[in-house]
Amino acid sequence: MENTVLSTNCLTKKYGSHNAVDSVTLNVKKGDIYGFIGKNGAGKTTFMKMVCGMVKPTSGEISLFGRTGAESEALRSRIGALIEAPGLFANMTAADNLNMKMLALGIHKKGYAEEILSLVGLSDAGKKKTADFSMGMKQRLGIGLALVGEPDLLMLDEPINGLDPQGIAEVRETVLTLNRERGMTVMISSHILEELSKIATCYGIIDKGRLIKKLTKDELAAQCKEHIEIKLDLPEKACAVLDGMGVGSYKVTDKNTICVYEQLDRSGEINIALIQAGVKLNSIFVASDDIEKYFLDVTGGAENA
Amino acid sequence: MLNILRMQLYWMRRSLKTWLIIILCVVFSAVMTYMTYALTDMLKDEENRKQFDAAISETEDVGLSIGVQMDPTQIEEFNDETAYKYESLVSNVFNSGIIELMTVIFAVTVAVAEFKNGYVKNLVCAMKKRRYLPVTKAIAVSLFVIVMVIASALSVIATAMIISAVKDGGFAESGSVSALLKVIGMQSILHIAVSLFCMTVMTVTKSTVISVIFGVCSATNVIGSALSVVDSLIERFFSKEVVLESYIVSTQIMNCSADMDKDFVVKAVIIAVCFAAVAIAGSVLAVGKRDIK
Repeated sequence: MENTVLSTNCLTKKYGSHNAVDSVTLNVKKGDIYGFIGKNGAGKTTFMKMVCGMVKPTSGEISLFGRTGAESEALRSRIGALIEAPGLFANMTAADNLNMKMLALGIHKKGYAEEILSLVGLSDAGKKKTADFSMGMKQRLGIGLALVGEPDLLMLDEPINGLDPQGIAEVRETVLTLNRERGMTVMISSHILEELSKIATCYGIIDKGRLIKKLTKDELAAQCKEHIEIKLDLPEKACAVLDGMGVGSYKVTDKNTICVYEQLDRSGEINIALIQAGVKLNSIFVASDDIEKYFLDVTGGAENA
Repeated sequence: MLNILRMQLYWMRRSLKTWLIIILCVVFSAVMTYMTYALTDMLKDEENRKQFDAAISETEDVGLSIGVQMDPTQIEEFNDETAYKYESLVSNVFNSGIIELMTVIFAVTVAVAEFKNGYVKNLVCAMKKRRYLPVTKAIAVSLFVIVMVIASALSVIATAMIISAVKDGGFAESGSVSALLKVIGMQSILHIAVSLFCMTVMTVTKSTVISVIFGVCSATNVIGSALSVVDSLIERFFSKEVVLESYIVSTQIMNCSADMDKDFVVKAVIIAVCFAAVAIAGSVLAVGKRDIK
């Protein structure tokens, strides 16, 4: 339990008859970078808001740093959060916005705001009001605000929204640095799954409020492994050929496609054998599932995305 | 909670709207003091005084009260040898409702600022109890309302001194310091109460329009006029004579004069405290129960 930073048990939030979050049970361990994946309206933000105390759960339990109930509420100050768009005072500078949060947390360290600004790449913001900030700068300041007080758990909801590729890379590096050097546990949601896969150590996939899949980075890598993808006209005949060649791990994914997950170096032999057996091939190539495809498969296909 | 209060004060100190409203209070106080002088000067003429009496009675019929508040008997007694006391001039400006209007606008604009721009999302984890937010906000608003009342009073005195100096005396002179402090103190309490009440209206309704309309109606005594209708209905159907208007803060602000007696002070303080307590409780409940969007 000591090792678990965040744990929820059947956490539910209902709005009328609609279950925004439906009996979500998950654990985030110390040092994890937890990738929280889900479509728009899947319940990611509501879940994060409940953990941060912005939204009251309808039922279920939240445990923070091994404590529940009133004890866990007192530990919320150890969470830094950026939920949805960053909340900023538009007529103030970045440093003023940071100073306010520092005051709220009782931090009076000189140069602390500058340190945070430097960490999120806003050292040059100067006296510019946040109203004049670009979307990316606002997002970075939002992350900076979440970092005030050096939280043990950082919750980032779509933190790379609106960032350019360089900004995305900087956020990625910042999260990795905080995780590796300061041991900060991070829960991060993002639509850019490819980007998430570069940093997350474990994943939770949420759909229609329910946590439908939990898996580690290695498990996801195994799911998205390389394979030979064969487009053909007679899959039944092809299966017999593959069986005859001693290929055991394959899957007929639709009426014109077979995916072979082993002996990837034998694609040439498979090609010849299938042609000799009278199977008409449209294409044969080595491919790999990306996380996005896997996500779409798990959540019910591309038509729902 | 002290940390959250520090943050609220920091923000209000840094906010342009705070200083803009304080400057407006100072300017309006100065303008109204000058208008009092101009009116007094004009009413020394018999014909003008008759027209003024007629205008005053028309305004009272409508029930609106914002503007220079002058007691006609005070004008009648006024002659070249007499002069206003500073506390009377200060009292007149507060009675007009203009400072009340400014403090109400201030309260409404700051009431839910961090909810509107989403900054509250940065704070909610940092706060042990969510109720700290409306409580600290109420304290910070109260402190700035006191600053506004003092700044307005100083503006009135400074303007009166300048007019007296330019016109070679005769307009205003220093009176009782304790009476002046009593007016400032009493008006501070009453303005805090009405500001907190409007802040709560804003917090509960989340509507700037409704809150500002409520504040304007309060400052212009429209609420008082509406209550007098209720009074007459109660009298008609229950044969009971009540004056609900006398139990609202705005009426106390209008009636708080330099020579207020002990009974008035006690009644006004009780009404102000009740309004402030209900307002803070309302804000705490609204902020505590609601989800943060």
